[in-house]
Amino acid sequence: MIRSAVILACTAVLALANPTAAHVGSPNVYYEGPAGPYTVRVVLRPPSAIPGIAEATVRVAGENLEVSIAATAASAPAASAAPPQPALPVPGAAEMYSAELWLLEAGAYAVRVRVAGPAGEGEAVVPVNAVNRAPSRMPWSTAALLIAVALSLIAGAAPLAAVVAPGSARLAAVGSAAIVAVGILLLLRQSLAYDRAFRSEGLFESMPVQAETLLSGGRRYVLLSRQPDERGSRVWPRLVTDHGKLMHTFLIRDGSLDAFAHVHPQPTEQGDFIVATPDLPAGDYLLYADITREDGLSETLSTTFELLAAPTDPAGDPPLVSPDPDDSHSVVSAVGTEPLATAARAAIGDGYEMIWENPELSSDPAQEELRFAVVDGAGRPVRLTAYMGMMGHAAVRRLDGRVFAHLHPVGSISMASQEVLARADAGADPHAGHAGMDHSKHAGHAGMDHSMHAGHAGMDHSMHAGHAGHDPHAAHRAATVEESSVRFPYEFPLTGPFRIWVQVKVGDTVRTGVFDTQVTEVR
Amino acid sequence: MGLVGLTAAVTAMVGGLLWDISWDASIGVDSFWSPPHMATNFGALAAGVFGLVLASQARRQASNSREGGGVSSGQARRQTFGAGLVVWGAVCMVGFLIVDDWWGRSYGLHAERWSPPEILFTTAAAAILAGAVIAAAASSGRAGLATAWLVGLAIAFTVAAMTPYSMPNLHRTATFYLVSALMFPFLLAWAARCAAGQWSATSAAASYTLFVCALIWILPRFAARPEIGPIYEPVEALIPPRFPLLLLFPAVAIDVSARRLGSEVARVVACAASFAIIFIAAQWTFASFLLSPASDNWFFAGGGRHWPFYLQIGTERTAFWGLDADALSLFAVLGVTMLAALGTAAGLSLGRWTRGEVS
Repeated sequence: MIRSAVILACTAVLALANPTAAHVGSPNVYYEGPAGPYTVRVVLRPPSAIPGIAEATVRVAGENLEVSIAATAASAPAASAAPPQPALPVPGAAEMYSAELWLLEAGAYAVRVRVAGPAGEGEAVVPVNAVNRAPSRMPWSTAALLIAVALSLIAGAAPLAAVVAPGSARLAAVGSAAIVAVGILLLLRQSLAYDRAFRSEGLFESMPVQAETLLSGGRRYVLLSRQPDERGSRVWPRLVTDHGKLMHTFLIRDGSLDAFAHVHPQPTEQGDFIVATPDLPAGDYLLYADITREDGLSETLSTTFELLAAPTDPAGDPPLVSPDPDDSHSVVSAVGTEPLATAARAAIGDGYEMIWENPELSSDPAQEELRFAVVDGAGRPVRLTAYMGMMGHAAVRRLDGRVFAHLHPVGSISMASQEVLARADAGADPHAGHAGMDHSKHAGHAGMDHSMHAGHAGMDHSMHAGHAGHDPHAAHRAATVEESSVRFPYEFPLTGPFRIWVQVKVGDTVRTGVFDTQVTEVR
Repeated sequence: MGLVGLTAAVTAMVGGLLWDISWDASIGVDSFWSPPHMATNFGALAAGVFGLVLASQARRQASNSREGGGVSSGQARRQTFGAGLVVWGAVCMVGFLIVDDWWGRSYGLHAERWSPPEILFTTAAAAILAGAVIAAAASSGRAGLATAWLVGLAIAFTVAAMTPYSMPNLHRTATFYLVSALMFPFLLAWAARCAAGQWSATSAAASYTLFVCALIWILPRFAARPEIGPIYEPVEALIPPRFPLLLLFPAVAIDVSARRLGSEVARVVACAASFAIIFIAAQWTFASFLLSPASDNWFFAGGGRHWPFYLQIGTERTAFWGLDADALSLFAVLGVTMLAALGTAAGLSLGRWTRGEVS
């Protein structure tokens, strides 16, 4: 009795957590960055079950290039890596190469993309999580075919039996058809039981967490703690920093999606995470927290909680934790209150406007990126400044919560897991090691700034802006169109209504543009 | 024509399966279009087509026999049944292909043992093999060799389906001998009775031995290397199947008993006892040879050398497994004899029916 109550309680708690790895409902991996002298854009479509086949496409400019790809499980010794396989040019698509990658084991994988050509050789490490996800529903066409086969097998057994038992043909026919029918039903029952077990035990579940408002000393905080695991432990796994933060957290008001914050909780002495809450209205909130484990596996933790109203009389106690300088928030109109057609331009304060340059993306699945630009009140391009090593941060959410993704100009990857995996490569395989170290060195040099790194290759738009941010003379000349824009490699994984938050830094202020769109077509 | 085509198609199906097992263990990457899958799938589907041909032939023969031809109606009926069972198996194989594709996408590409797709495949292949044997045995003319060959393929398929119990490392466990006793006396006794000729069980066992040996000698001649990681076991060529089980010896005994002894009970007892004694003695001894360096050559492909690239296997590659919990005991030998007796009895009576001695 007690045991079943405990199980019931645990089930209720677990139901809050979303059973998905990095990002929610958005498993495809997008990466844009350097591979030596080349800039590559990599899209990885992982399988929904492991072992399975990931589809990889690589876009890289140049002629006479050889592109190869290898996938290495982070948990396996580097000596066991499979040889790289060639990615072949996609017929009819210029500068595009594709390959299929088998992912045998669950966990973090490093996908190494190598490009060789006239300009030399280079490699990019793209992290991907190989995890089981909930199987999709069987297509009607498949189900119809199977029903037809099953009926043929049942119907076919009858005349067969009648042939061998001509004396009692009718009995034999009915009996054998019944036996086959029962066999098929038993097989169906076994399949359904397997499906149930797979869904309840075989799927990757991100770590269940709980959040609560903590009012202390006249101040308001959000406290994020881990649900006890099956052994009762509430200790967090060892994490690595991504853009210098252990955790990137988004708070979004549930339902209306009008209030939004991008904050960075810090560990408490008790091992939980705490963050000073920005000036958000009280209400029910969704919380998404991106973390990267030490082994390179990245996860998006999610939960819901009630944000209580801020205390009206702030006391003079010292704060439990100071706000992170990179924390930001915005409050705009609720979804559905304005028609979506107006959503290609967003006012971001002080007369600045953010323009979504390719809102048609939502009906063109081939574009693979979201592009935004910032202009001032007179319509002139405004130079953007890097913050947390990036020219921009974006969050994408399907209104019903089935999709949530945190994007950067380098794509949807966790750069922390990229570093972990590049280091792992460096430790063992001398060839990979060279490239891996080169990669992390550059990232480190630029303060984990990938757009800067890409900038050295002189190919990335966002880099020019990033570079300009550090250039004392740049401030005195007008910004170019490129310096005012930011791109996020991404494709919407589902059709339906989406809200997008795009964060850029203009001068010293982080500004958030909010866009609504109706995605009508997906790849 | 129908029977030759059917035999070739079934050979392709079983050969494709053994080739596929080797391919998966050596290269790892495969698809619907990889050669072993093509051989298996198209072998099964072609068997279905030839099954239809044979069934229509049987129907013609049946109508001829009513007009005074040489084929008995019972023979035509059994051929129709055999051919029909092959067609039924081919339809089941179509079902397997659809389910397998869906299953791989949904739950992962390496289905577990006796998962629904595997049950479907085994049912389909078993129906095709059984149907082919029955259709061949009921064919007029000199179909004895084809029948024995088809039973040989059925044995090869059974050994593959019995993996991992059929590994030499498990040849001192009770489970291996119990499963063997369940399957092989049945198949050998069926061969002894249903195929024309005095050495049918021996021919069937020889067919199996030759077929698997041919694969052992041919497959490693093709260079292959794993295309997916992690790779723990170095592989440079397609890895060969394990050396065939020594079923030739009990098969000779079964042929002799089935021919010499007068009563059915005596035949069953003799076959079961000789299977238990001869097979256990032969395989028990041979297994230690197969795990020793002496068999590490192209002919026997033993010595614990050949393992799938994805296995992390150390010294246990040349060791006997399961000696603690599952060692062959006297009690288990008794069980082996009992199962062998049941199998022999079933095989002999199925053989009699297949030959048309009972209707």
